[in-house]
Amino acid sequence: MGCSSSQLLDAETLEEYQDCTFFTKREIIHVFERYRQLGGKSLEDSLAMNQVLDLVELKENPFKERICLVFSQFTDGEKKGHISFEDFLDMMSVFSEGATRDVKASYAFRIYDFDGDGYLDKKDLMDTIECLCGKDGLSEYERELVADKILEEADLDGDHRLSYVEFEHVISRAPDFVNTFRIRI
Amino acid sequence: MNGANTTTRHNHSFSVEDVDLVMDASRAGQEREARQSPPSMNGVEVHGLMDEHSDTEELLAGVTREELLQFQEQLPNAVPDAKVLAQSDRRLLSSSHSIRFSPARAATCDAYAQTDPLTFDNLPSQFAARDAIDELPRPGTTHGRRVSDMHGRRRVSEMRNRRASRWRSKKASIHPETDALELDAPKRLQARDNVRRALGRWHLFWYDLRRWWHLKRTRRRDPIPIWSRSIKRIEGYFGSGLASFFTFLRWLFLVNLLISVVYICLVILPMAIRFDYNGITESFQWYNVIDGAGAVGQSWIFYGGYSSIGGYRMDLAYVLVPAGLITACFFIIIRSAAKTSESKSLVQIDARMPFGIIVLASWDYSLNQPSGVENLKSGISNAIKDAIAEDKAQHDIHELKEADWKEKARVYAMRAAAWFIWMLFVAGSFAAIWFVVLEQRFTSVGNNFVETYAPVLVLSFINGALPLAIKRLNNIEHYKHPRTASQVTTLRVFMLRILTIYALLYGFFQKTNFTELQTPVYNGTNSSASITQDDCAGTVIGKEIYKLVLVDTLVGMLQRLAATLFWYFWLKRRVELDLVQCVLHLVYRQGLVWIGMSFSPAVPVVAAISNVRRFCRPPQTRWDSSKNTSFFLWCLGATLFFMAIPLAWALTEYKPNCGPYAASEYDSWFDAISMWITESKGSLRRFFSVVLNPVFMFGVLLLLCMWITMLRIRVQNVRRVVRDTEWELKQTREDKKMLLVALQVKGGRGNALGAPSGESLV
Repeated sequence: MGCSSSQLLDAETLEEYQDCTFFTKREIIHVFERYRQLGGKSLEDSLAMNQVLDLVELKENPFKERICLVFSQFTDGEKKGHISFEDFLDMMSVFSEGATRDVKASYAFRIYDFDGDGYLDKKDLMDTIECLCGKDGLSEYERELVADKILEEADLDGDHRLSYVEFEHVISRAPDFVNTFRIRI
Repeated sequence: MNGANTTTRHNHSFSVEDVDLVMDASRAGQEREARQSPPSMNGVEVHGLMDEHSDTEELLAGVTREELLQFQEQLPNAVPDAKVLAQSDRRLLSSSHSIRFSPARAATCDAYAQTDPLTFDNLPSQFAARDAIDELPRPGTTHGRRVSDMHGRRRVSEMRNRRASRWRSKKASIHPETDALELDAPKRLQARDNVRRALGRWHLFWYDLRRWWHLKRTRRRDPIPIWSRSIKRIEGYFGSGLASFFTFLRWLFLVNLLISVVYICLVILPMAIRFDYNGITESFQWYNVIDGAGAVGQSWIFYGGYSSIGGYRMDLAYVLVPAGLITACFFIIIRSAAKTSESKSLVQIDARMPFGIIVLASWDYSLNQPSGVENLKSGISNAIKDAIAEDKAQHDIHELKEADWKEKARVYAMRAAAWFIWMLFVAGSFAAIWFVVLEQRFTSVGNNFVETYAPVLVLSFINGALPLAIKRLNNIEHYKHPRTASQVTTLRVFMLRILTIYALLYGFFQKTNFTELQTPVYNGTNSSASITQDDCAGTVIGKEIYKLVLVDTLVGMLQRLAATLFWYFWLKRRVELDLVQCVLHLVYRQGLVWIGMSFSPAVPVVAAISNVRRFCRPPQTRWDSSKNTSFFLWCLGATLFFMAIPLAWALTEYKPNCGPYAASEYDSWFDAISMWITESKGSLRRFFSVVLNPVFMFGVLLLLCMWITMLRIRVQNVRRVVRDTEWELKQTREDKKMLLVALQVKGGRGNALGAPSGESLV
């Protein structure tokens, strides 16, 4: 396995990957092994979303679809949500222990930004709450109430939606965020 | 190339993890620069950021987003601004409301801007800016900053390659509008760097080790490494509330283990070796292990089985060991309670923005077990519900304050009634305990089951059933806040338990005094006492407590099992673990251990074994586990205090007639110590004569008082500093808020809110 992996990943590519992620070469090879276990064949081709969702570390995550969509380089069309190896590596790098707080926060922002308009509005927040608590965890009314409360707390400029700055402001109040926004692979 | 490098550096210096003043100010700086250095800066006098909104809006009308982006590209030119920024930062911090750049300063700035960008690297201004950043108050840890500092040292040029740039461009374009707000989050992603790549194997190992150590130090950690993995797993599956319960249980177990070991070494073993086993008249039966009668009752398990043995001062050991252990327990509890101040729960709740933190920052992405995920989900929804309830409760409390007197009178009458009912409960249990204790005959021969176990069963019943009834009392009281209700219940149950123990002890002491059991029937010096074991007051109390601990465990287990099965088969759902009640039960048991260990040295051993416990459904109410643990520990401390009182009374006032003191003529157990002191010889005697000298005692007392006073003053100082810092932080936060609003105004958005707060800045 290791032999064929290192055949597919030549030294130069590894160097490049090292530059762009928080991994060492050995860890990159490990990530690649995991990628191949999911069914990926080479660097060039990509996995369908449901293939990636088979990953044990993602399987139970309520935001798994969002994660795939955020990290996928295919934003439109038939291959929407497909994950290439680079996307996969990027995902694992962001979720690794080495990634800094702002890197993690900016991706968390994108994950919670369901409609992708660069702001967390009330709808985004309610969707997030639904993911967090499950369908029957909270009633529609409670979700709306909580979303309003969040906006009341964190929306500093009064435009009824959270920009990234405001989001980061909230995150900075949670010192544990770096430890929880993490997937060990 | 160097330009690009500076870009990263600049970006980096102002893009540290938090949304802080630095970021705001740097954005402000970029904005400023946007108006200065490009052609659009045509001699317009720049008064500053906030004071003239008409000006800035006018200016910005001409600056499109593309231009702004262009500016971010040309950031080397922004470096000289750093000096101004640093100054403005300081000004901002010291006097929050005046940010005005004088024309003179703007001119200096321009002069800088015309210098060769290459030299900017070495300009002191940059370092000044960095220093300023370091001086800024910053919430959270410095870890992220350190890592990003490391990142900053690398050259970007190495990253220039086809794949990486494609990759980056893809990442950079997701939120163009956000980027235009100079958020440059994607830019920061560019500047991120893989420090570990350049390291060799050993360096990498060393780096990882350091990182691991740092994480370990900063993250929540477990001071006691026993069973920490199981507790972690429990926390993953069932939440931190239950985990804290088990942490407490483990802690109790260790304390009991310590007590047991000390007792075994200093009291039990010497006796067990020298014990006269021929003195046991009864044959051994298995059920004696539970009821403590028969052969077991005559052995060294109980107080009466001890006697003075040659070569070892059993009388001394028997009084010094409990006294020493209780003192030690006090210190251990206080230390542990002081340590558990930091929050450790899975779902963190910040008082300032509870909802935001729960929803946006509490999901644990590392969970991959379905049950763990389910639990965190329910935990989060409960945390949210709690937060809603808390929010509502705040309103309700206000409402009650403003309610008319009739309503108020009704509520307070109900509460008084609830306390009255509680008192009835206490009185009833007192009556039941005294009845049972005083009616019981103290002979193990011919006792039937009911008579042997009556007090124990009554006490178990009281402790099993009454808390449930007390919990119901909340229904009539209408406490607005669920936490208040829970605290009142806790207080009542806790007091009930302490009072029942007191009642029990009082009953025993009364009984032993009434029946004149101390008649001197002990002729021999050694184990002839075993003949009269059943008449020995210490043994009687020891037996009862021994039975109590054992039967309490058994009954508790059975009761819980029955309840669980009943609920499960009847209602098809698992019974919920009432965490507080469980803890109170444990605390109560520990109280029994402390009081019982002097009468039956085997009690701690039994308790240590029975601390190994059971499972049912995890509690659904979220708890802040740090509050939890300290709450548990304070309960325990209070129990120890309340248990120490009767114990001290027994040690000093109770006239011993059997057990280790059968042979001696002591008036109380403490006489063993005083006798020892008077009998001591040589240097020990001299030591005692110095220590017990009133002058010396007075000196020590004075020293202690001085020390306490000093500590108090220091604490007051620290408190004042904390208060000041909090106030400053609050101010900084408000400044930040205003800056943010002002920035948004300049960006042409949020007009409605921007104008008034802009005015407030002037």
